[in-house]
Amino acid sequence: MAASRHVLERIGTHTNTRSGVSAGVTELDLAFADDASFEAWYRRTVPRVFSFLMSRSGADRDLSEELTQQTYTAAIEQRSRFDGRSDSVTWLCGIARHKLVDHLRKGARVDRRRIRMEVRQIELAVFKAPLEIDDRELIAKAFRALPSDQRSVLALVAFDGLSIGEAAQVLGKKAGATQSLLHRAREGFRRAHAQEMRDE
Amino acid sequence: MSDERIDALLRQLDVSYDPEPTFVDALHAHLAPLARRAGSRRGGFVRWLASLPIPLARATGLPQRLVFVILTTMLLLTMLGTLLLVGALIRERPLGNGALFVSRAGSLSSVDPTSGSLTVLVEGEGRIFQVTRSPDGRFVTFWTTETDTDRLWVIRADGTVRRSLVQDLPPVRNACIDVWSPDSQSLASEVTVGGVPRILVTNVNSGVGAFLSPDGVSAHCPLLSPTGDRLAFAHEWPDGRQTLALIRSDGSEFEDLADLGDLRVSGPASWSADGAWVYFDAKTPRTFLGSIYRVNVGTRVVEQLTADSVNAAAPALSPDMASMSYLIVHSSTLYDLYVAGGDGSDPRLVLRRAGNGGWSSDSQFLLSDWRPPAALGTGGLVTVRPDGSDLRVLVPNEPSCASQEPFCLDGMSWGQPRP
Repeated sequence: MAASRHVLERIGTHTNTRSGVSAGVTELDLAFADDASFEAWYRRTVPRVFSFLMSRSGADRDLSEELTQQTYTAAIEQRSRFDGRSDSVTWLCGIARHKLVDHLRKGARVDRRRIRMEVRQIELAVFKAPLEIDDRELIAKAFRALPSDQRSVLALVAFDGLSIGEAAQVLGKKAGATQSLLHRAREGFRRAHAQEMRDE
Repeated sequence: MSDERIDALLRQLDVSYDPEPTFVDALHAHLAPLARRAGSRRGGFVRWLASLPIPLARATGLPQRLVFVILTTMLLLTMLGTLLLVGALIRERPLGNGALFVSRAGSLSSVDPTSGSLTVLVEGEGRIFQVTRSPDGRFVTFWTTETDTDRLWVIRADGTVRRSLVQDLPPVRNACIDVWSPDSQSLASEVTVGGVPRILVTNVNSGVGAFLSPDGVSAHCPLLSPTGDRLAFAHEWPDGRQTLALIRSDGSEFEDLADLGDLRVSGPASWSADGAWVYFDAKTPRTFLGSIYRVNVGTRVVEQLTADSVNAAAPALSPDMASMSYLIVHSSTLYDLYVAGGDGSDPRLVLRRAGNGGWSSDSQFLLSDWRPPAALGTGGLVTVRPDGSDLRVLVPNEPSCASQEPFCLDGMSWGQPRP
């Protein structure tokens, strides 16, 4: 509360109704008031951001950690854009989604160059990995086996519930191309999941 | 497996995953300095400006992009307006003393000395004489001629609320020009009542007038001091002499200002802004040539400012007291406008065939009724700098007026006493 009062005095605004925070003062304004406030906000939000990325990356922990770091760094730089209309976690997840799509877009270019080698690596990994006993892990493995651009479109449509048009806008593609990509992604997942089931 | 089933399978991944505590701590250690620096930059103007659309969008319900575009447009327009305003301010602004007023052919008009635009305030009168604007620019007084007398009027400078003054007296206006008190409350006029020229002081608000010059004293051409507490006028003696007299505005301490010998004073024309000097013109009985003089109100010392060889009249001291404008008179209808230093030094011609309408309040311009030779145009009411530059015709003469005598303008005033 001390931090809140400090920010309110510094900004000179009045109190409002949204979540008990002030009209001109957003949740982020309070979070950046001092070190303690920032740490509290960070530790409260980071599990949800990390989970968001984990689920959409096919439980790729390294990638999720990398993108979580990118997300918070961007959030600090762009915090003036936070308008307080939503919860800060929702805002963070929006940034995270763009970071993930950017990553997968870059990955798609690499995929096209290294497709044969990647297939071999996947087979090798499958061969060396311990047996998966959890369905969720099978799903994650099948998802990770998809090319990057297919993972992007599935993440946007299946996880986030975006329409084809919205997903196309995020991906920077035409709606028809996105629809086609989504079709290939689902087909790829169907085959990969079946393969994982057979392997198990 | 259907598409819906695939999506449902994928959504099974959407569960909570705990980040490694070491990762959380390490990332916090990385982010904390960034957050601290970001927090310390909060007060930046640019950051504030960039974030301005957000609360506005919230308050108005408009899209943030639209608010940004509107704000940017407003900012650009404000900058453009500021540039134009600054440009207008730094541009030399002539005639900072507000509107001037002219009367001709029975009409009274206000003229914007900057743009030259003219607005008719009164029309349909027989003739309108002796137009004078109050120093504060709010009122204009003028005289009209009726069957057996003259009438004094006051009107707001915007042409509204015209009132008749001194209705209880039947004064007859004389030739000298009325003068306002510095506080714009009263007007001193020369009028003839019962065959005697007297100084009438009229309260413009109440419309009540009172004679200031003593009974039996013939008084001409009043001039109020810069503080308004004293009044100078030409005192006409029974033997025909005409001297310069002084009286307090309460009617006390009537006295002759100086011993001028046989000089015949036309009238006090200009009082220096510091109150020290009264400028006037007087004629020598032997030659009937006029000269410009000034008398020190404190020491009563009289100085002649123009040479005996020229016929000079109608002096006007600039408000900054640095210069004096006057006329070199060739005949009753032919005269040239000159300027000299306040002490009469360095006389120089400003404009041929031009009268002396006095100075602008910033001492930068002279007002003049100019009747040039036909080859130079019809002339008219003009402003001109003392060095003769920036000659500008504000009210052109009608072609028929250019050659007529007397001049077609019946009166003009821009708030300064004029000869």
